[in-house]
Amino acid sequence: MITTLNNISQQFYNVGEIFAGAMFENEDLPIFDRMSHAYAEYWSRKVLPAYNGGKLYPCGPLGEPDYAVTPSASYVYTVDKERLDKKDPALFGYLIDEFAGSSCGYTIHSVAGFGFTHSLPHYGRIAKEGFDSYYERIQRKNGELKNGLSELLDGIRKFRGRCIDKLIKENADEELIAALKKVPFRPAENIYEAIVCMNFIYYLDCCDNVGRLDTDLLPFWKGEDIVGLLEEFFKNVDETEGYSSSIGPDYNPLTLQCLKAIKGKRRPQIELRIRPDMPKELWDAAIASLAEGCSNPSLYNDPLYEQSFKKRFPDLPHEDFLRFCGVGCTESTLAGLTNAGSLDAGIHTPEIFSVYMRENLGKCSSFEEFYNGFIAKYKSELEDVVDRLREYHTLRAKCRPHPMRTLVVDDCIDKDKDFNNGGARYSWSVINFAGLVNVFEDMLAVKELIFDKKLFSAERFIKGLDDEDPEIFNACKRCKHYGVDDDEADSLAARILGDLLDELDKHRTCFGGQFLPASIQFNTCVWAGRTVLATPDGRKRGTSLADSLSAIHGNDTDGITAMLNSVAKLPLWRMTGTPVLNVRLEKTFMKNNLPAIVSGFFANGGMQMQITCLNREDMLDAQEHPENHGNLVVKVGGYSDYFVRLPRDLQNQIISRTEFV
Amino acid sequence: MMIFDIKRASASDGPGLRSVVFFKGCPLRCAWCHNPESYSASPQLSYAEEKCVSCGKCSQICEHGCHEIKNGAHIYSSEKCVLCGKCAEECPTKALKLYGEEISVDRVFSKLLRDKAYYVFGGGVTFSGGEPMSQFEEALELAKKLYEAGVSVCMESCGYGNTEDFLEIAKYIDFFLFDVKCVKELHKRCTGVENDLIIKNLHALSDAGAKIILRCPIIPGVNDNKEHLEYLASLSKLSGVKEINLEPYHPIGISKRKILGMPVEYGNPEFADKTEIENLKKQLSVLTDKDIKII
Repeated sequence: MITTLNNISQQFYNVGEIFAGAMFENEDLPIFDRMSHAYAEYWSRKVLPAYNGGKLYPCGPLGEPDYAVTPSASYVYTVDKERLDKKDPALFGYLIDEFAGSSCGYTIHSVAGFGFTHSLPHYGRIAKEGFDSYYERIQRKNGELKNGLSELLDGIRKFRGRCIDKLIKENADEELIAALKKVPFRPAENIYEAIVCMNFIYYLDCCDNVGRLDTDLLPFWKGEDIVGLLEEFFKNVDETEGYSSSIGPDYNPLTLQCLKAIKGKRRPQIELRIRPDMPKELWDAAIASLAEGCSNPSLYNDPLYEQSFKKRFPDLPHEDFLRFCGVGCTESTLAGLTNAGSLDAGIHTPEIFSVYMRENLGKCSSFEEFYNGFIAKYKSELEDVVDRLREYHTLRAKCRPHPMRTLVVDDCIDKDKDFNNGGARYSWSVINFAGLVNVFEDMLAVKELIFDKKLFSAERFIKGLDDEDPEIFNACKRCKHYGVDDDEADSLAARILGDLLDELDKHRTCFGGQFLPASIQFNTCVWAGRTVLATPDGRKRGTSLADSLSAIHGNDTDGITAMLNSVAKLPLWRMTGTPVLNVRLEKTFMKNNLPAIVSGFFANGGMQMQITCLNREDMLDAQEHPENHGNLVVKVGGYSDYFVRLPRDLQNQIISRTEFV
Repeated sequence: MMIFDIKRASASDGPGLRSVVFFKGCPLRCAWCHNPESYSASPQLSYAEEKCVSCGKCSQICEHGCHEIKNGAHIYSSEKCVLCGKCAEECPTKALKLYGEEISVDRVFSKLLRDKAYYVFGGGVTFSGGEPMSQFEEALELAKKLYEAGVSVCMESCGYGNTEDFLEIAKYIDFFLFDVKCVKELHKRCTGVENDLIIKNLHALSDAGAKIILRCPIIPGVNDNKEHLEYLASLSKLSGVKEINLEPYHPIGISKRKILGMPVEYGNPEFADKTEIENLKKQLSVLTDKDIKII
């Protein structure tokens, strides 16, 4: 049976799949126009979310009750195969195109990153200029993107119209209806309209990131208290699993209002850009929020990020750097100007080490030989990762244009180039290094036990690791460690990282962009550990890797400053993509000392810090597994001490105290 | 110099974030002391039975036969011990621990400077112990070096030492955390020494312009009374005294004494009652001038 194109489209429409149906309506059209049509139809016809009676709309979860093919912030569109198969098992096959069927897919390294591309619309520009002016820019350019973008804007206009109709029908807030009649097509004229615009665009961009709040909203601000409105916006972000926003470093009154609004909330992740002149009231607001146990805000060393960016991009204008914001977890981007490629790909360094060590340790007569062999192995693995990524980017540019991001990210329209084809003002690719700290510790242990002290033969050592021989594991645990301010250990860690980054810096994306290295492990450190055999850092087979750049729990036994000093000795400034450091602090300690801890770390070269305050469960776990909690600080009467250093009975008494909240 | 710890990032030994150097050796023997490992000017070995897994590593490494495992139990013979610390280094569960390390002033200084970036917002280094003045020459040299490096130094002291020495080191100390244990009549019984010299030194420091915080452990049944508060109030009239800290008793000293093989002299196992401490602070504030901070 010959299937006509229209038949495919009709089959998707028949099962309520608007996006896919529209995408197949006319396969003769350029792919950008097909995707634009799909986006336009989707927004024109999708089910609207419920109105919650508030000052912003859309609101709450997007509400995708039955769609299997939906627009995606990262992937242009995503397919829920199970849901689609239930509707009609024949449909999925139509979606396997050259891109989906390519061989540049999943590898062992992908666990640290694979093709996500978080991004940020230029919210401030849309609020200031309105989409009507975007029409004019598109028409003026009169290029390849003209038809698609114009249709997309029409679709957005229809979506807005349906939103307004719904709000009128439900006797919604009149101010909201009036604002939505204006934005995002005409310029916002006050702070409320600007926030309504920002919220609306956030939903259009599939609820990814919030972006530059304080600076993008400042031009509309006339002294109003907008904390309540921001809280409502943040609730939408939380309910839609949105990610990040950055505030500062040009501190204005809205910076403080943002911090007040985020107090105690999970999302968005507010990134506070810290400069030495940050006002005390902002420190106080940050502390008040963190004390709620919400880990918000995260703290960024703004001068060092600027230095890091300037080294890589010497011509970067200061005003563009001011748009710096971490997206997704915390990958570096310039809000509204960038295709950040975050997290495009990963490199699984402990897996490389583990395989390399088992094959080569017995063949090496010196540590230098072993070390250089590892770097060479990494180099060849990296080349493969980068080659695959280039192929992936090339195919994506051909098969997966992203009309929504092309519309909202500068300078795609003016370059007449799709977002996924190098249209953004800046296009780079954030590469995530998994398990760096494990490799630091692995190298330290191998150097000390096999080459310096010659305590074990290579064969005995590897067999001991594989058999979980306590003698080998104890020997590994007693080696020098990263995380205790030991210069010898830290200098080897810095050497390893420097050599890994040197290799990455030699490569470019298929668009000529740089690869920005990052170390961002969240639950991925657990997943990534599952494939790795036992390693000389004392890690057993299949267990979790270290968390980003934090010391392996239990090795950082000399306090927080010693741990931070070890981290700061790494060439962190070279990790422009972002080097995450998670730190857990006892609440009172954090409240009294946050500025000193953060300022000291940043003065020494720390890039960023993500803080969590300690709770009772952590202390109970510390009793069960003291080796994992060497850095946990508690207050005993009038002094602070390490929890695990205290006698058991005292620990029990401290745990049994009432926790005042 | 002989120290038994350098605690980094302490938030309770003076303002801001501080590195604390614990000097070994103290002329007082306070019954409730929470750092009894500081008494002796020499190293001391502690043994925490609850942490011992009877692995026998200590008996293998010890050249003097101090440790043996009999019927699964660890037996330590301290009379043979030369305090080399090898057993503690080998002990996998840290059941054995050596308190006390001979270390040069320069090494301590360079260790302390590692955290200099964190001594912002009023932080710095605190000398504690033990009694820092029991190693006056070393304490002075270290204080001078830190002063010259621009690091704020605070000294916690029991006040027992040569008056001239106190006045000399005061030139490099930003402020003193000066202990006041109890009234004169109880002092010798509770601490092993009379307090005449201590009070003399307090006056001398005040007269010399030193900034002083009176640090007063509140020991239930010993000094949690009006007489003691009146005594503190009278001392707070000295011009150098800016603040009084009432430190709530905690029983950590008891378990430390047990693992050090020392007799328990003040066996109260309870933490101080917070409400009681707050009441005492209120009573004290009535007795003192308004410009004296009570914390």
